Amino acid sequence: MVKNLAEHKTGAHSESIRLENVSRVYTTDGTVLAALKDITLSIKKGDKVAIMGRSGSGKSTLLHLLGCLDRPTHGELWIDGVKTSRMSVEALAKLRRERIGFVFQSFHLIPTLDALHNVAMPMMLDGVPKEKRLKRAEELLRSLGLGERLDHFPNQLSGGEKQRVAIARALANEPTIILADEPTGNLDSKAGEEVLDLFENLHDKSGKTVIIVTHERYVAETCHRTIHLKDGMLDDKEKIKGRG
Amino acid sequence: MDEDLLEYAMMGLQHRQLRSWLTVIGIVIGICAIILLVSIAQGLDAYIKDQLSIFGKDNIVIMPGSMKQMESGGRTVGAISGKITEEDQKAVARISGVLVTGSTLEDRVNMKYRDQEVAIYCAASDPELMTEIYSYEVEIGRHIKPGEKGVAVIGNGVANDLFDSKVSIGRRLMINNRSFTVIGIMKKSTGLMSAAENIVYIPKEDGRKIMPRFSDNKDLTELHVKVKEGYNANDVAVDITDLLLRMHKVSEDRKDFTVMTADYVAEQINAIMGALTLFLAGVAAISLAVGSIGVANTMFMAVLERTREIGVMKALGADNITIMKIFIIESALIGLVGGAIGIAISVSISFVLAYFGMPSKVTLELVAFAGIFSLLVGIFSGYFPARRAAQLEAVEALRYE
Repeated sequence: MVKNLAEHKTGAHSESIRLENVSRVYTTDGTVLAALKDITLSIKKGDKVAIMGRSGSGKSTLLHLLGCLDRPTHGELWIDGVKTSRMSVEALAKLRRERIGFVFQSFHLIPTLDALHNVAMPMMLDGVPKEKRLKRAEELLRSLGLGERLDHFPNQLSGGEKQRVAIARALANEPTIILADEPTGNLDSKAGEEVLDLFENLHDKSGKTVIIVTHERYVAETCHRTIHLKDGMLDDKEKIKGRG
Repeated sequence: MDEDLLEYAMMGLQHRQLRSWLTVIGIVIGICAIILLVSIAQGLDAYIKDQLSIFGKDNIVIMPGSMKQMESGGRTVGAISGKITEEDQKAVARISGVLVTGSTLEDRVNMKYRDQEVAIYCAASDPELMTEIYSYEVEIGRHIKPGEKGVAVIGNGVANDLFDSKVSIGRRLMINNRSFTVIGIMKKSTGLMSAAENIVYIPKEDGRKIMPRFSDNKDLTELHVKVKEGYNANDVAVDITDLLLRMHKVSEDRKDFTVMTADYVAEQINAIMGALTLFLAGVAAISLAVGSIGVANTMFMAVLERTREIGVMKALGADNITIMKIFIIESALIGLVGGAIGIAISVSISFVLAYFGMPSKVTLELVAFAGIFSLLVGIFSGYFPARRAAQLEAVEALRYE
């Protein structure tokens, strides 16, 4: 019932993500640090959004909240119309598994597994049978040009290759939302461009919602819209001319 | 999914092989210790009981002196010395339930054969002792008959190994300067009773004459009794004890003699073996505990090192229980593999020991126990590290360098 209500609330264009008065406050030994203050925003399905801000502006915190890796201290968060505040740890994990794909700046591949098994991992967690998931993992890797690297371990791959494996992994469970935290941050310019092109392709062909945290203008310029953060709050002042 | 987690855990262990194997070795040593030490204790127990089985259910031995025991701890407060005499033997023989009695005088004597002289142990006994109370076997010749004098039966070692030339039937020996004719040579004996190899048996009356310690008294070294069929040896032992307490005019706690039955001997053995087994098991348990700590340490380190990995897994949608399972499966594998190798090694060693004559008894229960125990140790050692892993905050974990 609540779910339907929430979906109803989100309006005609289905919303991918919605935040209402979201804050994330850390209290350690009496000191209070507000990483995010009173954020209200909405991201439509199929949007490609950049989140920009200086370090300490709260952009990583925001990304973690969007990915349900963290919970808001105040406020409400909806993912695909589902209210997340009352969900249990297990339910959130399931949500992440099924709907969200992460791409990190430091790749974060599992070092003890080869490329194929890294990509298969999200499917394993979702209970997909072995043959099926290895097959799909192979398909994904081939589609990203890594057909020759299936049995390579992360320490045998270049930065660009690692990030492509990470992207393949993020796509494994066919998520509706892709969250990328400075995906080109650890890559040289050529590899960085390749990755950005991939995101472009990905977004245009699949209709997935893509959210990229970045501090590079040129990355933000590839997105429809840029959300600016300053000191944990939305900043409307600086606007980047996006693709609209 | 659990088979997948198993595969994932195995890949994890394979990737850090050196450390995994070092940890496994800790468990292997612990399991080997348990199996070997306990099996040796069990083997020893079985061996001793087997050797002493000659002390039958219908035998009683009465010896002078006793070890006084405190009720509370069973500790020996002191030894009480006493004597057992011919009078005692006569009285005991009249107890109903006593079939036959036989006593010995035992001492070291001087034996001369041809030109050689040795000091040797001599038992001057009633002939019934050798034939009716116990069945000692003679290889060549015969036992001493009642009433015979000046004859001797020698142990196999005396006949064949003690002197330069072998001693055969009919030969004369000088024992404490008296002449004795050899009429019997004992069968070779092994094991705990092998003290009987270098011993000479003579009639009791002769012993009374030639042994200075027993010449001017009626003392006995040991009094042996065979119980009549249908009577319980323990009951007869109680009657003997009552009789001797009266004859010696002492009270129970100042008892100056010891009455031993097979049950009494078994009790003593069990007490000692029990204590020994407990001690050895304790040592083994300590060794396994150390191994277990090794596993826990390895797992804690693994959790620490894989903090980022755990964060990634959580980001990919692994829930806390899955994380816990991964680490517990890893540590359970270490326990299991360690147990299997430990069992293989210790069972092999046990066979080698048995081949070389060392008593060692490995039972199926012991092996099964060790196997299950090693698995449990693995699981238990990994539990707290696994819990720690599961409770990591994904965001923190991802940031970890």
